[in-house]
Amino acid sequence: MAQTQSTTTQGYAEAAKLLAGEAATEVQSIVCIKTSCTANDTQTYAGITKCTESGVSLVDADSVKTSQTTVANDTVEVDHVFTAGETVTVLGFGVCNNDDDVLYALCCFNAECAMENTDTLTVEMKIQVKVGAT
Amino acid sequence: MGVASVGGGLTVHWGAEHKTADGKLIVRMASMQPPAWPGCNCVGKYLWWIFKYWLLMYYHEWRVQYAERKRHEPIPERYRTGEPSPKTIWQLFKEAMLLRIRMWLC
Repeated sequence: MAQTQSTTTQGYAEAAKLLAGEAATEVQSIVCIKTSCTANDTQTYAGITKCTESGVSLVDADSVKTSQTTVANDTVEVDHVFTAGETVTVLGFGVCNNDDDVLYALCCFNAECAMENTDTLTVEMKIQVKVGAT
Repeated sequence: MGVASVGGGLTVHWGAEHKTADGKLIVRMASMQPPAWPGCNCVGKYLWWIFKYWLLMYYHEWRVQYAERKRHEPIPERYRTGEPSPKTIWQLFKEAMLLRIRMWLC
């Protein structure tokens, strides 16, 4: 299982709408992914297999803020601690919008993360807006 | 009307740590970016980087699998944290093979 991460075209569209002042919502939710995980830009909110188990299902992230990677406030930083309420195998996680219908970005782990009840998974995702990004 | 543009976009970096309820680290995942094309006429160098990236990817995959399997047992801390990560091709190859053997034995 290769470790991969990606922003999504669905997220680009949502970000463009936000810049244009059209109906769109900001980064807010976070969810663990199970069963299968492929990170590429064609992934969508509906297309990922979201965990529904207690503690790792879709929730508002603990913290969403801007931070500096290269220049001040060029990065959206999402931090969250999942606490498993039951046994679950997590393959990655995704960051979604406030309306919970757009996947901004996702990552897939190097290998399965076998969580037992009360285990924690501390995650951080940084989405940098940058010149020359690929 | 002419069209002018500059390159830009979004990049993702992430981190993840799996811990027990009492805060003991089980494993820290590794975030890796595949090597970008260096922009020079050096296919051989790029293929070498790709090979190193491929080895590194397998090393971290097997490291995480091993650390997850041995969550209740003492193992070298470098397998849990991923640090220090092997640097050279030889170190990577040796560590990856060592991990593979450890996994077969457990």
